[in-house]
Amino acid sequence: MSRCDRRGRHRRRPARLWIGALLATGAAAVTAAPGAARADTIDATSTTLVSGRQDPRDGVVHTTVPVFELVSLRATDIRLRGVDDLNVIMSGWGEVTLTGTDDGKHGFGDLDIAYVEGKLGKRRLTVRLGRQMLVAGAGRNLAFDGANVTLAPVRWAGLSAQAGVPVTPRFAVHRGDFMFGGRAFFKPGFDSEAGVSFLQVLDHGDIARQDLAGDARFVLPRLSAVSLTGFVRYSLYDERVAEAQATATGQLSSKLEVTAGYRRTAPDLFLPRNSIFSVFSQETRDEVGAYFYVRLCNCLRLQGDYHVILDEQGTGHDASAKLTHALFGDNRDSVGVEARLLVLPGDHGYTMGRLFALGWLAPRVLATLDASAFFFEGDVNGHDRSFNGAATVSYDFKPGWRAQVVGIGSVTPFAERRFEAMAKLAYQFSHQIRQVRP
Amino acid sequence: MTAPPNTGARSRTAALGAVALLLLLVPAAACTRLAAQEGKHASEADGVHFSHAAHAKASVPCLACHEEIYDAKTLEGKFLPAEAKCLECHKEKKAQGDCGFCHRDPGHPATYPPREATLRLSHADHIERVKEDCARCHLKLSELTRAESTVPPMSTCTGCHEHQAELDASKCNGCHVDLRRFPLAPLTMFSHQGNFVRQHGPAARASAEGCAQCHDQTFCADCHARTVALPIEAKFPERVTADFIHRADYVSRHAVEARADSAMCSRCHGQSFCDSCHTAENLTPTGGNPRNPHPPGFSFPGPNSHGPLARRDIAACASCHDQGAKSNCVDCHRVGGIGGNPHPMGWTGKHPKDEIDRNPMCLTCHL
Repeated sequence: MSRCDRRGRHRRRPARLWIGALLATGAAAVTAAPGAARADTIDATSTTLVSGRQDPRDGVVHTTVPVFELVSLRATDIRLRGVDDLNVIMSGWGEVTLTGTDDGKHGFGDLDIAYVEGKLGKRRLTVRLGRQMLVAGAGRNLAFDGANVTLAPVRWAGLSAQAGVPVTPRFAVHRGDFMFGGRAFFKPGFDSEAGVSFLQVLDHGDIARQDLAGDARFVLPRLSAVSLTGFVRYSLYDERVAEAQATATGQLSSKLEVTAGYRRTAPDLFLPRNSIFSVFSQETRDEVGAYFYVRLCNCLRLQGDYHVILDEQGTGHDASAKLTHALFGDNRDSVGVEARLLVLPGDHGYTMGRLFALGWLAPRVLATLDASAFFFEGDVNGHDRSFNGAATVSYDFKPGWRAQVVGIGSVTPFAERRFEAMAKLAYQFSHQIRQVRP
Repeated sequence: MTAPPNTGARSRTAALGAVALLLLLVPAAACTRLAAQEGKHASEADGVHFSHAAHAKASVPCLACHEEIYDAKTLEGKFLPAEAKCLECHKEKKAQGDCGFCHRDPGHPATYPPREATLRLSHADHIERVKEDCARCHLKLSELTRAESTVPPMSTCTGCHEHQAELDASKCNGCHVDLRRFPLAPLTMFSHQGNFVRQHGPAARASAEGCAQCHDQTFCADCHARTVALPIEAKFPERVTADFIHRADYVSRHAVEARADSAMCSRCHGQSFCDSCHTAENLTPTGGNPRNPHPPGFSFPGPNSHGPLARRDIAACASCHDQGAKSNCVDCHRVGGIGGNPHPMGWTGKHPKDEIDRNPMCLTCHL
């Protein structure tokens, strides 16, 4: 049997939940145990969302009512003998769909992040255990359950190593059953860093990813308003560049920022190497362009973006502009207008226009409006336009508490009329006793 | 109600015209309004006329008005005096109906707007050490004749506190709750202005430690978590000024966005993500009454052939058809099949024939 068959059989891996649950329980025990450890700063959030929406499927409009509970916990600077900067970080969610499910399943839940992190040996060794993301270098935000160890014997250089089990994305087949990698970094200054990294993902013993990457970010020492970032990811398995990016950002004045960049991707190298589809293509896609952001005056901000897209079929264009007007000079209330034109080779693309507004009707009452229209270059489901409007009203009825109602209406190629309503209750608890001691 | 018919070019021109008009009119109106505001030297929102200098001259102790600050261990809370505190000395002004003595806009009196704490600071710990002399840190307090910021500069802190080690380690969050409040400064490193969503990726790859000073991974997980409950646009619909990817009717335009940058989709979404919706829409063979989403002649050589599209964007094909050995490409493209050799140019140069025996995936077609 080929590994392709084996891959197809693996869908969700809810069993991994217990790893995160165990970690979260351990974290709670560390923070709660009297005398053992104490967190100087605890931030916790809880959000309950009840949504009712029309969900058109196969020509029939279903009404679904999912209820979400999202929680997060940050306990930082926990005091524990021999460990510095001990942190426990966790976020997770649960969902119950009351009616209108398309697959008969009513309950879901998972942990997004759940790790314990601490520093040992006079802060030279950082250890992170649990469900986490690998952001730096070749990681490409890979989520995994495992360990990440960083050794920085000197201030300007260090090594990190990771090993664990990749997390299966929601709704996706799993992307491997073991991963390991490492990164060596050089940090010449406060705001500059360069690194070389390696990452390999195995799927039933076969290689799903085998990447070598280089990354760098430098702030030019004699031109401190200019920063350069670069990244290249090379597939050792296919001996081709999977992704390359170079960006230069200059803040020409305190009111103007300009960025120019180039990016190349090989779309097939974003597929696991053990996918049958990885043998059909070796094409590349290039994107080059610039972006600016300017504060025209205290109340006006304008940003613009233009990129040329180059691929095997021809040339495309992606242009956008956004103007935001801050009301009353305090940046708390604002209105804005946004436009985007996306033209792709082969008569694909769309034009977008959008208006938005955000205002505090009273010191504790926030209202927002958001309206957008899309005009498609070719027909989508027999129609060429889409209109969407959304309004929210939020009331901060007690410190840390926010109640919100949301109404959304739309006319789209897939729904002649669609309405959605949502109620949200959010609670943000923060307990900070960290002090700056004179 | 039926969605309107296709009148593409005219609609697009009208939309662009409307947007261009708005882009011209809104700045003009805003600048006119700002000029008017500056002309009368007052904001439309209510504020207070207040002179720290006058109160210092009258020898009013700071703690007489800011009593709560004495025990404040954090900056969370209200430390500005309520109206009743002012009336202890100025009640005759209110009795005379002279609301403008304090209020900038007496017609619309308002309380102080809520303020977000951006520093971790304990006034309680500082006040005793400076012997209740607030001016040790708030240096210009006695010179302020208008109600304006009294926050001392950072150099005041570093006058007593040695923070070089923290600065070298990029560990700012000992004092700073976050650095988002600093518009375009410090330059280059911490600017989050404009479309930072687009720019943060390259920066984070080489500066993940720097990002972590203010943002732990739960912040990243709001968008990047593999197990995420619902998209961030649905989680925070009130953030209308943010640059979210899937805002509004993304379903209708997702095919266009995927065509623009399929690698971007592949970062977060696997094959089953697409498949779950497409099956519900009967766009896959597993649906009850499948509809073919491809144009006529897609399976055969010709102008609508799938070959060139697959070469250019194989990830899009894989988003629905990657069922391993059961993928429908195998039937035609296996060795001896009617579809012929599907490998791209130069494939055999990099993949010698003996790889077939070493790589079980090859055996799917090379039996």
